[in-house]
Amino acid sequence: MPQSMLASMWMPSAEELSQLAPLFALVATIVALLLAAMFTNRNRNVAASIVTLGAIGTGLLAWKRLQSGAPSWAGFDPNGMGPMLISDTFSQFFIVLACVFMLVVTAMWWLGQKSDLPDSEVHRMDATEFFVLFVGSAFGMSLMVSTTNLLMIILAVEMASLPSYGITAFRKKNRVAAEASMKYVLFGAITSAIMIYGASLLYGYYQTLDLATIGMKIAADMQAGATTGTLFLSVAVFAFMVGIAFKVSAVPFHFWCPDVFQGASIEVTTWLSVASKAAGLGLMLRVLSVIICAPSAFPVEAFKYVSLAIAIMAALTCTVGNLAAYRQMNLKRLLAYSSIAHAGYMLMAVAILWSPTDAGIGAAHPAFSAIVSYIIVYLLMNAGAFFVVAMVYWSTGSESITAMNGLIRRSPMLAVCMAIILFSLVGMPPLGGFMAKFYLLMAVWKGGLYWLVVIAVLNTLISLYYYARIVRAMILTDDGLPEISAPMSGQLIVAMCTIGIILTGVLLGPMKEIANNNASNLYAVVKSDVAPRTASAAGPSAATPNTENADTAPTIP
Amino acid sequence: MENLKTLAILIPILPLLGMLLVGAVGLRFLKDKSHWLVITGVGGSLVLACLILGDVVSRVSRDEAASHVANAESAVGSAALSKSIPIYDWFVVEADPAHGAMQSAGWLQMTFRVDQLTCVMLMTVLAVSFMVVLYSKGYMRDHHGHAERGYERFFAFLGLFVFSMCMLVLAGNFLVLYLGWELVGLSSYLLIGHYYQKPEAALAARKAFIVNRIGDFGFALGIWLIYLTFRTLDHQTVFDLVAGVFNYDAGHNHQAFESLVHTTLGAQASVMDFKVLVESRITWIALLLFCGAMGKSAQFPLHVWLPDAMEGPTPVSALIHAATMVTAGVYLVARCSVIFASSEIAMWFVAAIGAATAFFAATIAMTQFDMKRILAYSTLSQLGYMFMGLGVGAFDSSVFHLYTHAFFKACLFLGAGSVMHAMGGVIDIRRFSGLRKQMPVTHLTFLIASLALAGFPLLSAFWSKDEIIHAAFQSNVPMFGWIGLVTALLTAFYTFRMVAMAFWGPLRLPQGVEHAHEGGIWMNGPLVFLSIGAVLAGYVGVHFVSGGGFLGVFQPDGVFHEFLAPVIASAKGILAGHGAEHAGAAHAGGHGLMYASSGIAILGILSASYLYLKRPTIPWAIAAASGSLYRLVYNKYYVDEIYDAVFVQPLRRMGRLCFAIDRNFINAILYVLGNIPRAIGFGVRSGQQGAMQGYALGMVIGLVALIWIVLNGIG
Repeated sequence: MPQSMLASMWMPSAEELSQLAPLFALVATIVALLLAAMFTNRNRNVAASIVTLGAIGTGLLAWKRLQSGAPSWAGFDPNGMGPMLISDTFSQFFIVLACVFMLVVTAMWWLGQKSDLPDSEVHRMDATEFFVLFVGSAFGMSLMVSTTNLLMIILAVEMASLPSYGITAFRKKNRVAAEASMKYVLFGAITSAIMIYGASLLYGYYQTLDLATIGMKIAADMQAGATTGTLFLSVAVFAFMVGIAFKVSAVPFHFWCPDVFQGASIEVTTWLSVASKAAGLGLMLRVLSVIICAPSAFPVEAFKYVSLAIAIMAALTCTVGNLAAYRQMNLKRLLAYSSIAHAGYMLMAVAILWSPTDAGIGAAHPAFSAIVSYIIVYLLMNAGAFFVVAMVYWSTGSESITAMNGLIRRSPMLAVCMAIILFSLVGMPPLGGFMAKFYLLMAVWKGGLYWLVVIAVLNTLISLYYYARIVRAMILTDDGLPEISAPMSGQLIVAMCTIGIILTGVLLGPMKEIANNNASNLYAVVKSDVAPRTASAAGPSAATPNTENADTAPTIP
Repeated sequence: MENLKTLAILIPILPLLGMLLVGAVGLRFLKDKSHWLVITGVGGSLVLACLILGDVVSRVSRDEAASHVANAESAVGSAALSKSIPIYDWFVVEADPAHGAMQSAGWLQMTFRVDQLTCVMLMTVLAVSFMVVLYSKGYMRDHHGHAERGYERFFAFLGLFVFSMCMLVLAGNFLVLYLGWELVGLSSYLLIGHYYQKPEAALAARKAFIVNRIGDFGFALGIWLIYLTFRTLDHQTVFDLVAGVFNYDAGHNHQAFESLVHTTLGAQASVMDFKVLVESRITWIALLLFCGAMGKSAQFPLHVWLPDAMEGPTPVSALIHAATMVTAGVYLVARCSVIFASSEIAMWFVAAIGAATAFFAATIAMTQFDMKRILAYSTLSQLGYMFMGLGVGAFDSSVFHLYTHAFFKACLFLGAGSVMHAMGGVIDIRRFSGLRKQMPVTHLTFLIASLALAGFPLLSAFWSKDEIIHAAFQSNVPMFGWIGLVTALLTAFYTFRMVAMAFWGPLRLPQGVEHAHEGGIWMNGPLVFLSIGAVLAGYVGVHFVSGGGFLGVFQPDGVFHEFLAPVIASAKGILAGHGAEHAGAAHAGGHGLMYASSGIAILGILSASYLYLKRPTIPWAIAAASGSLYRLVYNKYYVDEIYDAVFVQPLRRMGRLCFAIDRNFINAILYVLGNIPRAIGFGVRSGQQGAMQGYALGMVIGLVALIWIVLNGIG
């Protein structure tokens, strides 16, 4: 096997390379950052500008590919068996999201450096290092959604994690930050180990790194009547998912999350709260849909307990997140738990990806479009909420909920936006959060997991309490704190997020249509392009296992 | 249709745009020029509303022309007008074969509906709004013409209100209606609390909001029940179904009804079961909807918020709490006339609540001294009239009264605002008098509007109020008619008590005010316009006959009623089917009553003027003599105090209890739960590192449990 891989080592053509332009653009941004630091005496504004340009450029490249409807491309596969990298609508979509969010975080950094806090000293001194790590993690996350190869997935997860550890600890003189980063590293190491273990089991069993091929072989085995490998398989797949669950901060792999969110500086918290989760969910969707959907008639039975485990994990995740948020006084920690809870809601839809739908081949699974639209709304809500917290923090130096007291007087604009954002996080109609949650729970309900919907609704009730507590502090409690000097551009970003949230709620029907169309585009790639291609390539061996092609056929232990 | 749709979309959008722009750039750039955007927006909407009216009128007349040639059936009700205009699907739900076709088509659409009733409401609302917005430009300033603090906020919220009210009126289904309903509630709250630094204003805003929530809760339940019963929220479909059920026994057009049932509820639905279901639920639906109307239109026992709402700026009182928003309840009942007409209990209840409110509010108004509060109680009383009219089946007369009332009541409030502006914020009629010389325009317009309110013959309210009283006498509870007449006397009396005390007699000004002055063109212009409306608005509701009729020329039932007739035709049909004496439609005849009520109005006006101008001691003597009765009325029958004791205090205690439970019980549990990982870690190793161990242990335990589930499932 290694022999053949080496033999077919080849140089990709320029056309193939151009498919990966967004990824190259991110790498180029990192290089430019390092070079610019040498020539401009580590000027922080230059660094920030480069990141801004890089994010815009990458976003545009990805957006162009998304718009042009270019066919998906699965490249770097020496013998047509397992593509290393994939460039399709799905990956471009997530890269665009990541770029938008990079811009938000960079804007936050830019505004934050002007404040008179110990953090801003780090901002001023070590901007280059910060941005290199930051773009590095963005690059890792972009990789995560651009591959179906086990090895690449592991590399991508590590690529996203390692810089994240670094930027978490970036408040160098802050004890809490150092400790948080330590925890982050340790948990990351443990879950990576489990993930690699699951991946090695899969590879050892199926002798291939390509997930689509693995899916084909599983189906073929099932059709051939094999029963022995089922449990083993379930454990392998589940163990592999642990690494992703860690990125999504699902219970019980969530312990790092509150500490990291509290310890890291607010830009980093914002970044991790959305981007890390979005990338994790994107990867999870990709992995599951490639495994499940490769063959048209996948034996759902084989994975029914994996689905159950994910459902339980989802229920635990949102319950623990909400209960823990209930009594938090630190805003960042509160939002951290809130983000755990939201990850739980999204995981609920992952749990029903296995359930069959009547939508037919090529149409998006309802869970798919539900999660995608949830991620978009969630991005808006979290960006807005963290921005408000950041602006309050810059002007008061406090992250406590009491810093919000009387915000309606101190900055009416921010208070009104924050209230709308918080109510949207609860899921109140007619705001975007309601739309996202409604369609998500609708999909779960149709998937037959009724108990999960009940848990989600109960959780929504709990969450109302702690979100409303912030609203209460902003509007009903006033202890005469001075006015907030919020920068105009920051207010503009918050207002834009709020308007987006309101629009997604009010124009719910049209939005849903867009989400459905896009989701089936995203989904179609996974389903009809990649799968048939690998199906034809791996056809003979998959259709007739245990026959002449001993190289690729599985041997059941 | 397209034309109607474009106009209908633009009408609410213009004020909304005005509001958004003022909200976005008002504080920083527009400042005391903020009014222009909102004036433009509301004025533009008014023009569009005129266009819509023209369109609808031309449709109706085309219809009539057609009816002369074709058979009458095809022309009844302009087909396009009774249909909802879909704007977009607000809420898309995937097809669910278990239910009917409506659901799979997206059951919660954003739909508008433009028919005759909508036109009347739009014209009323927008005309008054436009006047009030103009007036506010002059009113929301100090004596030197500088804008008050919060000037731009005020105009932004006015824009929001006009937008919400248009949404409410244009709604084509109950969900959009509810949306508009809640939005006007919100803008009312924001505007009452405009002077939020003043504790009374903040409290009044909160009170209005909470009392409205009580009514709206019933309203929401009503909508929910409608959905459960009819599986749709579309206005016309619901009305057609109700009409079909209650005309079923009368026996025409069964087929159309049955096919409608099948398209709405699914092919397998049984028509007979549905009929029984609707008959059993219709009273509940009507009463629950009326709960909402009681809250929004401040009918007893949910009337307590309206007098307090006078803490808001006077233009707001004129616009929202007199002319437009508080009539939303009347509009709701008129819009759902089919539903109400189908339930005799509900009709009786509406009429009784209306009559009671009309009478009691008028008695309270006789004893108050705050000009705006007198007008507020007068509004309650007039709204009571409208509900009484609705309850006795005179839907068109009530809408007619709503329309005339908007003009003279807005004029009165704006006049009161003008006085308040001149008196430096003083509004107590005991502290000034004789303003007629110094404020001639205000005096004249106020006088005209007062005459209208008092029901002076030939002015607008005379026609509309008389129709309601007439219909009440025709109903099977003539008692309502007598209450109406007595209230008319009280109305004329308290109105001229106020006019006499404030404008007539010797000149007296409150301390610190040397000279009363008019508010300038921005304030006088709207006053003049509205007073003209107070005189002339009623003439669309009468027609002229030669010989017979009131004074030999006037006959009720003018173009206004003909115009509205198609909208309430099916409700009238159901009422006629009941066979009761609900013959509200026949306004003709009853000229005797017109002479009687003219006499009563003049009697009230003259007695009040005489008592308060020539013999001011007599009213005081009467008040002193009646002792506790006077105190009872003066203190508004102690309703607020009763509510405080029965609802507010117990709820407050419950709130404290919940807070204590949260603090001491739930928090403690969560504290323990949250520290379990830490505690486990503490067992393994002490100190800060312990948390780490606990976390890891928790993770491993969770992982093992999950893998166990993956292997074995739960069972």
